[in-house]
Amino acid sequence: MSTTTGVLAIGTVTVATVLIGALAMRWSRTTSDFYVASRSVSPWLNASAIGGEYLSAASFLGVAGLVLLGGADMLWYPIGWTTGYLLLLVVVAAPLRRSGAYTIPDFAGWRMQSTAVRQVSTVLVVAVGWLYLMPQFRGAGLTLQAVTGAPAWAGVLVVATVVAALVASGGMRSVTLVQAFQYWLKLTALLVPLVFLVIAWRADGSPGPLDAAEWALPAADLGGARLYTAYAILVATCLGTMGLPHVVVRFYTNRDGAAARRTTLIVLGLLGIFYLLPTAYGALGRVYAPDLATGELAETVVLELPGRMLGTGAELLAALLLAGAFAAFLSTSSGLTMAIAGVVGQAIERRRWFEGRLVGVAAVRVAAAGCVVPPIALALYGSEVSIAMSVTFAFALAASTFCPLLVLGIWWSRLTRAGALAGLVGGGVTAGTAPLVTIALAPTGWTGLLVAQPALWSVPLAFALMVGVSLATPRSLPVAVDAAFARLHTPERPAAPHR
Amino acid sequence: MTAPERPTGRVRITSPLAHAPAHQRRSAAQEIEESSTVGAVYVRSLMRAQRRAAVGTVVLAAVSIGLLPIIFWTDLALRSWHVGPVPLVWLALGVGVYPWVWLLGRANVARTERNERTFAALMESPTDPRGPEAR
Repeated sequence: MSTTTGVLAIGTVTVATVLIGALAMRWSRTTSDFYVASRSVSPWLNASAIGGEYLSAASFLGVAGLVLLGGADMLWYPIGWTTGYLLLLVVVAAPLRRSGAYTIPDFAGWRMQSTAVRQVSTVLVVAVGWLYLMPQFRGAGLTLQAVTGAPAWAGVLVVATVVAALVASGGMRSVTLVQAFQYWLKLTALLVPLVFLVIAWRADGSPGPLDAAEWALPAADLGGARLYTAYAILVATCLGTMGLPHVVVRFYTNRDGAAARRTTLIVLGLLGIFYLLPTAYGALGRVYAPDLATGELAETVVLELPGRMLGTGAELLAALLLAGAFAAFLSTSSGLTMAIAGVVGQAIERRRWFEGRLVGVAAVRVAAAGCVVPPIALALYGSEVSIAMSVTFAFALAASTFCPLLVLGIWWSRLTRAGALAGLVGGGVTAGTAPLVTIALAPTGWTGLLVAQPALWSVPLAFALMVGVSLATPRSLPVAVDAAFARLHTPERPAAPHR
Repeated sequence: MTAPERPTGRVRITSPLAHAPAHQRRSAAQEIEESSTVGAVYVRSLMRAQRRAAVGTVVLAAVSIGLLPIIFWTDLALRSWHVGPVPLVWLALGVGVYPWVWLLGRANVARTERNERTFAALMESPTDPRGPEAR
């Protein structure tokens, strides 16, 4: 692809994003608009927005790269990312919406009646958010570098600036419309070129990869380690989904609990359709671009395939794919930034800085600008952590902290403040230090595997801590658990008939 | 405690309790709003029904998807089965899982909404054990 076409594709997506954001900004007036689009978003629009926000570059470019590299072993990632929504639907969607809180710390503070639990949750939201924002920014930098030859830091800065401006200007309402647009853009951007690629592949006589036997079939020789990895990936991605701050905040934009459920079911369908595509790109890549199956280059397989397989029109299709990839960077980053900014904005409001003048929308704006700085720094200097690795750690951290808090908080009336705190801190510390150990010490063998994929032991640990400490400290049970459970589990009535 | 006095002759009623509050029919919704013990019982039974639905779906998903690594990553013959030119493992993991997960979700939504309709019907009727007809 020529540099001009590439810049044009990226520019178009960026301008379209800013335009839709600006359009929505006219409607965004109150603080409630800003946080949750005043809760008036319809299930289909909301589901498209959730899909658009959730399908990051790790899904758009990363899955195909992983499949190209690892074959069948890597199919667990998209399965876990989809099944995570099933768990979200079944376990948290409706009750979370009914709790009526804006953010995870809001929910935690309300359910546990505890400022300490709220504060620990705030810190964890920021930690998970930054850990997930960093690879988005880095991926954008690398893609821009590959296409235009510009230095990687330029791409990082472009994406970070657009995202911060988008969030600070329109808040959630504009993010909702932008995200919904970007789901359909991403789906089209993968689907249309794939049709042409498959036609070309069939005209070519449907060749299989040269090393079909070793690559396509699961290897049985490394039994134990492979099984551990498969289950650890499944647990982290399935359970981590419900704890991602930008995913959970979306549920507050539904009208009521039933709408939240319907929305999630649509999302489940949208994700299932989407994830059929990157796998096909990975498999075609193994046939036509096996030379890319080395390290970070693998991530570019989606962008490379049209040029390798097609003659005329390859340029246009590659530009479409690039536009989709950039939409993926923008949508996930803006959703994450909005979620972090919302939480930090609330914390700023509570502090009453500047004589209490920094409140509402102004607080979110300040927080949005501040929240993108640390991940930018990480993206620019933390180059020894691969994109796939930091995504894994973000999911593991979310799975080890917010998943037990949400599951037990919604379904177990004997959860106590001390128990919730113990689980959040215990899960957070273990899943938080695992990446540091991996980077600093780089252990090998089983130890290396255990710290590189910590979810399979850190999630049960967090659950055990929450349950165990709760049973040992019945005195720190929050008051009015019955009232809280009534709110979480009873369907909303349109109008109270006896009043 | 003294033995109850025996009524002697006719008793004249001087106050027909005209000013006493009339007996109120109490709906289940009111009980819940006032967080009475009766209300808590209703909510707990709904929550238990919803929890059964959630646990059922989670277990079904965990078993069906959790078995896949064991089926395909150990030395079973299924590992190298092919459907036409495509290995079975790719069809199962790359395609088949997604409609299955959606169907699980669809079934769970149907069940939880049915639980909520039952609960809503209970809310409409008064808690009077003689039923809504009794006045």
